[in-house]
Amino acid sequence: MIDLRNLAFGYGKDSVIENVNLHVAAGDFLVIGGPNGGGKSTLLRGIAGLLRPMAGTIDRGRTRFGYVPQHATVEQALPLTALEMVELGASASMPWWKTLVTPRSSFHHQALQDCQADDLSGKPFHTLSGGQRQRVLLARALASSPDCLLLDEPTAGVDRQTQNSLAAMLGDLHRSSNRAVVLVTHEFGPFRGIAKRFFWVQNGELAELSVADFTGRQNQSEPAC
Amino acid sequence: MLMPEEFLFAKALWAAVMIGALLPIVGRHLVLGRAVLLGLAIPQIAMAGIAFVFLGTALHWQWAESIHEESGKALVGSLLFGLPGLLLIAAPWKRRARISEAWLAVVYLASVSATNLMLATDAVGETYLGDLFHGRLLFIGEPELKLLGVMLVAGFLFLFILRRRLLLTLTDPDYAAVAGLAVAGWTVAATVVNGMVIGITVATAGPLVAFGFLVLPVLTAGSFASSLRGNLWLSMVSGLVISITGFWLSYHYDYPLGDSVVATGCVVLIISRMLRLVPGCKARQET
Repeated sequence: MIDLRNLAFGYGKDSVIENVNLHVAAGDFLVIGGPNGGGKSTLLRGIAGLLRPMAGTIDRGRTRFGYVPQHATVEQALPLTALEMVELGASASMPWWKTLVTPRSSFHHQALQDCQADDLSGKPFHTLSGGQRQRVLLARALASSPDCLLLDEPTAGVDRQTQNSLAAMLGDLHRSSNRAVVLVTHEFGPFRGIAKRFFWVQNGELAELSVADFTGRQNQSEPAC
Repeated sequence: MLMPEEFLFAKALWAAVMIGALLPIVGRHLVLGRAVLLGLAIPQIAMAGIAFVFLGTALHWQWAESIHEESGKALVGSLLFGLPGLLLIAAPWKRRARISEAWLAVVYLASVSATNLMLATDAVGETYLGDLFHGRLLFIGEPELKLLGVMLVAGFLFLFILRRRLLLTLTDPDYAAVAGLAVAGWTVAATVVNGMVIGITVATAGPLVAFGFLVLPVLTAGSFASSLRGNLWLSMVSGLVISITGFWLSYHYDYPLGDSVVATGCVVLIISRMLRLVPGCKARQET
């Protein structure tokens, strides 16, 4: 599905992460952790095609990606509803002439329903809570029928209960399809029983770890309160 | 024409109605794309272009002198500076970045000072641009009206038909790029169309009217609409109401047309915001 060989990604002339070798297969569920500034989000943006490789090769085949950014800000002066947010996202995977007609709203409602957000469809996006926004953004990503979901800190800024609920929902979505998931997170706990492979990014290097090693590193990297 | 032929200001009324009804869709892009300052800077860049052509005429530059009509000078000048200026401002989109508000303010300041300096030695240009600033719709001729109509309708159709794609690339360029859209291409296309529409509107109606109709109807509609779809239609209706009411006030009380229309727009916006306080009128629940 996705093959990265000796890849380096960065900004300007400075590489942030180097020598990345990674294969993502259909049905994989990858969690990428690591300290702040280690290169997690840079790696995800590279896989997504938002950054050009500074070295190495990447083969994405014909994979269709659904991307959930860390934050989505919408101008408050204009009311973009949750359903319209999903409609806009789904239109990206269509040829432009097919976006001229009214989209299949049942399909978009289904995406919202899959993300337990169908009751939010008529609400302005900017009035939603952090967890509700993440559900809608996930529905938007699903509405384009992706082969692989790329999620950047999907549980950032929400309470523990919402984190667990979002993680459980992602697990259900993953199990019900053969869709690959690549997820960058600081909050590993909710994904412990859901993810299949664990990666750690630190000082610009990527390493695959066992769940026990990953948990150990996660605990070490968390600041003492 | 749906009004008596003898009505002296029929063309001005038509121009005001078309601008009021169709320009808000461009304003919607600017507001949703968090680029309202762009809507302020572009008309001013266009004004600098118009001043440049008048300066060329005063200095007897052949190409500038060959444009005989003042309205023609305004059109050429507006597009001469407005379009390249807009493309330069949009250039960072290629890297999925955008020009900062501070730099837009610099562009605005530079355009205002350049306009004033170029007009300093040209009384004809100064008078023309002074009129244009107050909204020169009363003097609009048949060819300008037709050009304005064609441009507004073409721009509206482009932005309406491709609205989903354009709004997505505008509001979330990263998502759009990951989904495989050519973000830079769509952004440049929207920028060119918006620039042409705003440039022609500035050349015929002035920067005040252009900026007023880019922002006021969209914000007024935002007081009641609970969806993007509703906002579009309500902003068009608001634009129509503002233009017709402003025109009537200008005609009846002999106020400058542009100022009258924009002041009406501000009053309508304030009333709409106050109406939101009335139970039942508030379309959406803010958190």
